[in-house]
Amino acid sequence: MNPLELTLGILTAVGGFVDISELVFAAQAGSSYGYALIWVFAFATIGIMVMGEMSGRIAAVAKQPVFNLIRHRLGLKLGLVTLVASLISNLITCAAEVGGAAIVLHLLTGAPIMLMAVVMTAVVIASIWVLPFKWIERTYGLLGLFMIVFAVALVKINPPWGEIAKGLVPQVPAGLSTQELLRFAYFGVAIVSAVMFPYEVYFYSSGGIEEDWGPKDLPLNRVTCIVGFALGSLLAISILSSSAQLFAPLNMDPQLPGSAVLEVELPMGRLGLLLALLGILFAVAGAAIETCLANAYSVAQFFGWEWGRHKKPWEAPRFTLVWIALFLLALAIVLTGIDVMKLVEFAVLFSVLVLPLTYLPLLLLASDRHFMQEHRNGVLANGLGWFYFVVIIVAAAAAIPLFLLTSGGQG
Amino acid sequence: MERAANVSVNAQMKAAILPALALIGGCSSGAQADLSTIKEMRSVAAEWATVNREAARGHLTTAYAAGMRKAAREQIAQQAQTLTEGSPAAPAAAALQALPADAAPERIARVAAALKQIETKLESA
Repeated sequence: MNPLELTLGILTAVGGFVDISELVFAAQAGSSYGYALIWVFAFATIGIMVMGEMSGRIAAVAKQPVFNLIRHRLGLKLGLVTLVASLISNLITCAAEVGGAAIVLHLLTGAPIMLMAVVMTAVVIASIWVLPFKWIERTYGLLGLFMIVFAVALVKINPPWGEIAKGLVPQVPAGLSTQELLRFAYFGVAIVSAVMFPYEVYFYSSGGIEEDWGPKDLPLNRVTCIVGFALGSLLAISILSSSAQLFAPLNMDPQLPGSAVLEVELPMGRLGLLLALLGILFAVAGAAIETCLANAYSVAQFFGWEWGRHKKPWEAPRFTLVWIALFLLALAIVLTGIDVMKLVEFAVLFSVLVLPLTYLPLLLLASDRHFMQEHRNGVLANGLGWFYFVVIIVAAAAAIPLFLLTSGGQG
Repeated sequence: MERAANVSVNAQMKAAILPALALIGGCSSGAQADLSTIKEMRSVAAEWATVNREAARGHLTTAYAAGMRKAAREQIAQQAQTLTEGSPAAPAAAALQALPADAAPERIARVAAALKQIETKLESA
């Protein structure tokens, strides 16, 4: 393992971990339930480590993109259902990220949100067009490390660390009414969905092929998934914990997308505010790129087109057209004026419904002797993988009833 | 002139909040339906108050403060429209809408506290 590659890989995973959905749900979870939902973040993070590692391993060993294998493994019809469901889920998520980034730019500059959405879309399209894959991932991932300011702010307010540690133990707060219990469960499902978004594995595994991973890169894949995602999750837990400490006493359950930065501003002042805004901007813009490219990868791989950012845009014309069209579609959704917080809710809700369709083929492929040979799933990976698969099926089944019963987590 | 305007808004707020508190005791099923809107409005008001408090301390940029105030006021206006007729939260919603963007945080927080009381009462009903 090249230490520089490893460090950059981990830092990129950390900077790219938090997106608009995690930001919103972590802040609301902390203000509503204190530290009681920290364990769900930790639990879901182990899930994305397991699935992410599998998807990277498939890319490195089978040298085939996930959606190509999905079509062969599940057949055309079920493969097509998975493709369409993933496309819708990723498109809504991409629109939420573009809208979130536009709001942050608006709060940084004072310029109108719609104009900022157009500017944001133009910048990310230009980034993908100009930069090689590795530098797209690294630029946004490393600049997203400004998000570390949320962890620094948490240290600065000196929270009750023992209480935060207790939050890692699975629990349901005592004394909640039935309605509050339903809302707690809704937040649990939303956090699992936000941490395990389907686009993450499509992007990650396709990235492995873009970077020409082979079996020699398996240790890098494993360490990046475990250490990078664990550290990224600590940022999300910092956001939740600061919210519990600062927002709950003020009766705030952040409803405005820009409120989370107050967690940093309150202890650190104006500099903290600017660093937090920049961190969110790059993290969310990076997530917008990942969702859009994940969609383009899926479509191109499914239909067997030329794909990848290791080629010039005109060398993979259909792939290029798809990602540009998807960005423009996401922008069009934002320009309708739909509330970004609603988009975040829909993204999380739709993604959790797609999760079983995303992860089942991964599990089947990663344990397939023919494709993976000696690198197929061991007992631990298989056990954890199927355990998380059952969990996401339960979460997917509960998502819509919980959404309706709690008015989208409001009460 | 600004002081006169503030006095007038204070009177409006009192006129709005007192009936709201008086209505806390008698909640209808319509009021129950408003619960999620009331929760959202209470939080947005608290966020607005925090922004104004921090802006007064000089800790916010002009763009951030203006953007957050605008978003808060727009959201409160939207939420007020979804309240059912005769909602106990309607007077508080009207009071919030009457406040200027840079209202003193204490004034916004007072209305947020009134909304919290309504919310608590509805939840225990």
